[in-house]
Amino acid sequence: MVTVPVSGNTLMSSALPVFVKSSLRYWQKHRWQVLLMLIGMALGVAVVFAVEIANASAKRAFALSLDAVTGRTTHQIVGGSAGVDEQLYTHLRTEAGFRRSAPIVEGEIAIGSESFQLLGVDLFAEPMFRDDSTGSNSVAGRGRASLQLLDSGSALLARTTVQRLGLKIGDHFSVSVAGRDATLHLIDVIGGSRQAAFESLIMVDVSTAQQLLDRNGRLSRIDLVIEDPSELDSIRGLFPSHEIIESQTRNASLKQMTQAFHTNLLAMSLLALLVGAFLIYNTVTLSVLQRRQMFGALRVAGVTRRELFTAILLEATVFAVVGTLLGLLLGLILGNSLLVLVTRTINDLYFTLDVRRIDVSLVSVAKALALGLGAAVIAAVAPALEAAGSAPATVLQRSSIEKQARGMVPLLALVGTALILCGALIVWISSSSLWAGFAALLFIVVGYSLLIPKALMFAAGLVSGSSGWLRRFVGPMGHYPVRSLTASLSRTSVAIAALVVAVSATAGVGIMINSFRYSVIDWLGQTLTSDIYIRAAESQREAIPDALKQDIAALDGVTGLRVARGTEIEASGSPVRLLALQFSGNGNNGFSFRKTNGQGHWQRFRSGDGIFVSEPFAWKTGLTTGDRVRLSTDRGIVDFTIEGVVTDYSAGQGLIIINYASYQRYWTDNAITSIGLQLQPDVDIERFKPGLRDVLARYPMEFSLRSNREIREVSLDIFDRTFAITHVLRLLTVGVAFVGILSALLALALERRQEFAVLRSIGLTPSELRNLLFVQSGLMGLVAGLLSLPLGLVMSKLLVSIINVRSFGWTMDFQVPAGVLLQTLLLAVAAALIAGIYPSAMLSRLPPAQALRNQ
Amino acid sequence: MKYTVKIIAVCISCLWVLCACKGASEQPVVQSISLHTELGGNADGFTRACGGREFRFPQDHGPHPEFRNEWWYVTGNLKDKKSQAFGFHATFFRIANRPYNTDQPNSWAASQFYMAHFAITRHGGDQVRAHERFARAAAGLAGAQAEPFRVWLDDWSINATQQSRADKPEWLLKLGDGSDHLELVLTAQKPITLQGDQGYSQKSSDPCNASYYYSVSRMTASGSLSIDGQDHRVDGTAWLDREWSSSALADDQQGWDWFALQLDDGRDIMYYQLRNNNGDRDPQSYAAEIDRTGGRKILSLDDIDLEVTRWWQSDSGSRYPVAGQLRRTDTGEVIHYEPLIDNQELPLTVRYWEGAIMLSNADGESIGTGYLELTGY
Repeated sequence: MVTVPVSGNTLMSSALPVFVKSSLRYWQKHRWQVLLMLIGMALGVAVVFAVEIANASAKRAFALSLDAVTGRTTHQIVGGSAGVDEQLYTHLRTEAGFRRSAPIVEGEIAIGSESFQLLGVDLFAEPMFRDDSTGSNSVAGRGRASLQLLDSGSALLARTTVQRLGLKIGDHFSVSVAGRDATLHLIDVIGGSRQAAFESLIMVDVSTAQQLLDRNGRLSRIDLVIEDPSELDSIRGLFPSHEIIESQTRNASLKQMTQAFHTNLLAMSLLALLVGAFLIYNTVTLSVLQRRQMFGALRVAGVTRRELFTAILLEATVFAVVGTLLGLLLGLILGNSLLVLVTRTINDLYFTLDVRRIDVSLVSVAKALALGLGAAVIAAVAPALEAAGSAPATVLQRSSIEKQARGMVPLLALVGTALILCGALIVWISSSSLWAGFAALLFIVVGYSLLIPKALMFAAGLVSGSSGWLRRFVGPMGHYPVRSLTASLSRTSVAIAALVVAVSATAGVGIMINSFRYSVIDWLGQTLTSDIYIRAAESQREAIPDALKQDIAALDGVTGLRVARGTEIEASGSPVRLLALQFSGNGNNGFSFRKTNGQGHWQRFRSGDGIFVSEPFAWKTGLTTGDRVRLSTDRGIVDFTIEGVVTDYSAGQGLIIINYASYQRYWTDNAITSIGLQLQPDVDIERFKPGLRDVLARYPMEFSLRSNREIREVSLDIFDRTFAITHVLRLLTVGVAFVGILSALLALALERRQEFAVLRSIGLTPSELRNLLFVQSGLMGLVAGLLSLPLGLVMSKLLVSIINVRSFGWTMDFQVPAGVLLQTLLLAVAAALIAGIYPSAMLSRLPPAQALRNQ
Repeated sequence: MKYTVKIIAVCISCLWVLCACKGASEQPVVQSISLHTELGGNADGFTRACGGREFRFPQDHGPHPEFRNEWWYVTGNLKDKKSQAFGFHATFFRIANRPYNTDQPNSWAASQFYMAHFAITRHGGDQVRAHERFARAAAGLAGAQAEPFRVWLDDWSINATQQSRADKPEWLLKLGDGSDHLELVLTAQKPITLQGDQGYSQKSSDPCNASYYYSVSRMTASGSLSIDGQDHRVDGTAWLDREWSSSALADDQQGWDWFALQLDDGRDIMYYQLRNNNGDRDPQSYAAEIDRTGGRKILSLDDIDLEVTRWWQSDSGSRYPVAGQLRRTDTGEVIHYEPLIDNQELPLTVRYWEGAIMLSNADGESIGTGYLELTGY
């Protein structure tokens, strides 16, 4: 061996063209490999990018509409559930002369099945609030026509909304508010650059909003622009019994509400990318192995280790760029579908949000690019190191590489174990950080996949030790599939690891959803203590008359009534559901307590200022039993004591339960939103309903009737809808793993063409060979499936006990159904078998003579 | 007079909001709006001023919601203890968006709204300090009433004092914005003057293009004024104009020059000349002299000769005839006028020049103060 002392740069410049040329020739010969790698990579990036842009679009749309509604508002005066008396606003402007104030009446409204936010404003007060293009000397609005907004029923919509709904200016359109129908008159559109912010809004005059929402005399809130802290003090003096909140704080906490949900989606998408990275690792490793002779030659030519390393990494980067770009394109398409699911979940869990357009920001693209390229390059580092380690001119035998790989197994196992311990440590140390939870999850997943070669060898030892049944099934070559799996451990183990990660993620998420669903069903059973529920529109202020209650109680079969008033209030600057419940006194009160404030919590709840809060509320506020919650009531600000933390899956934003009598005392509100009817056990609900409807028809209000069973069904429908996006992400991850397995099998198959040719020439028929390969694929799947189970269980436990709690504050019972475990196994085997179809068919068709000749 | 106002009111209803949401609508709705469609036609559903009526006080101090436009218009000249001179202008406009309807669905429903202007000028200052407000005539945010008299918009208001009498009003004016504040007691020094024909003031050949119009041409004004944060005790005289109508403008009128002159000898002279598109004085222009006891004499337009001696150009590009002389051919009296300061153009939703003026005779001796309104320039 001759060593020429020449500087690396000149050598590289002369060696690089050679490398590029041979590299091109190699990849041209292995197009399928490139293709699969690119597909796998693109899929991984696509999932991340799609989730990222769907998340970003939803967040941006929400922020936009929030900002549109908030405008320049710095503070807001909010009242109890009934809002603010409008006379306070008049007082503020006339007597107190505080002019930087605007009245807002808002609520939910629907056009057809589409939800919108109704925003009632005073266009005379608007300019200093929601209009950024004018000074304070003119009035907000849209030309002469804006005065038309003062006319009852006039409305403004965003131009895009108008186009989508096929409306035009001057049209009348139907809306429904809390079950009541009304007609609005479209007087103009909101166009220009700010229309996106108004897409989920219907803007009307305060007067129209009050009429639509049946809230005459009340405002939802008063917006303020306060520049000087002393002004704030004087306004506080004017409104001693009202809460004045900072709008930035409120907006931040509103935006925060969905943050955990977005984080969860992003974390799931990163799993898909991780699986994609395994695939890249596998492909690059294979290419390095196959080119080992060439690398040896290059080393002889004087190419240094560092140069070889750089060249391979560059090569991987080129693929990564192409794959990532493909992924971005694919992600863009996928993102549109995901957006629908994301928006639906937000609507089900949190608030009305209408996002129609995917919004791709440079930041999103940069994130996906960085993640895609980063993952690919990191995945290529190990094989590049391996190539750089090639001794000059030494033609490394495949067997020696495998020997080397096998030598690595104990080290990998050690590192893997360390990572898992690290993950466990993180869970143990961190108490509430969601990101720490995900970090632990990642450590455990990666650590576990490093253990896979070890586990594989162990399993192979077991199987080949007793491969009698295999021989019976496949014939005399029975132990061939197993042996050849471990013989090419360097690649099979990575393919299996990819499948394990994907399939165990499916199992983990499956078990989590199952546990969740089970807990919800359990909770519904406990909470729905009545047989039929009558609901009145929430915005209805007039009380359900006592006569109605008596009429219902007088119906045959009714054993008890339970009235409730649900409404939304502000607590610590963010919206919370308030449920006022009346208790008839009998045993089952429908709560399952996670925690109570010692003895007598019921007593204090009923008679004093005790409240119960839901788990998410307790988690978000960091409050627990015995702590006080400050609420702004119609009688001023009152401190309530938390007497119990109860299970509740209904309100993502948090729920406060108060005794109806206490509610009436503090909120001067006699309204009822629902009446629960308890019936004698032998009453047929469907037969009971018509009579009940007759009674209700005598009253002028709108009611809806739902039986206990219907509510359960609807609730579970919503639950399933909420998790639809999770299912989609699971499937996508498995899709990436499938490509990985296919790629690995193809590589194995092609690499061993001569081997198979020999087998053919010693008498194996094509179909025997095909079966052989097929069995091998199946085995890989089976092993992956079995290895997925422990990881899946650990993941699900982490999801249920750590991630879910830290994201939403929901605790749930851990339920592992055998079905999910079986599904996991089947999924792994099926994926591997399907992936094995093409390689085995292809190989078995290969004429042995040709394959041998190639040697 | 206060055509200006009328126009302003009209313009407002037109131009209004526009500037506000530039991004909001690509086609400004203004395009089709003209003064004439606003003031001329479209008075359907409103009561029109088509002939004489009997004025009754204090009722007529209050609003006339069945008419389209109405205003309470106070201007005046003040001096503090150090003889520093100030001018002030405070106006409440009532503008109907729809014919008046007492049957409203709730307290926010509004078919009318109010606009108010508040401007003060200091002799020696750079420019007039002007403020503007809008509010709906509902929910107690803005409105007017006859008994006890009150007109208000947010915390800007004019309220009758305890001493106020129907025929001799005494009103408390309170306005403020930022570092500018004005609080004055206005006490009538002369009885109410019905302008035009017993208060019926015809503006074009159509007898229904007219307004009802009365003035209190001299009131004492006494109170406090803060300008740019500096407080002054002030005294002086003020002029009150009240006018309401549903349609008034003719097709060919371009603008007007309105003079409210308060002479030291106790006489008050009002003169407005409507300018036609060709620059001529419209025959519906008007001049009247009110003597020290309140007796009114309508002056023949032929006896009034207006000569502009100085023009001033604002940053917005408009040129205004801010100084000149009024010559009465019947008596030979010459009144020279000079603005307190040149820049009294109000940079509000609708731009116009409304300013305090100083009066002098041919010898240059001060003979009184007044207010001048220049529109259509």
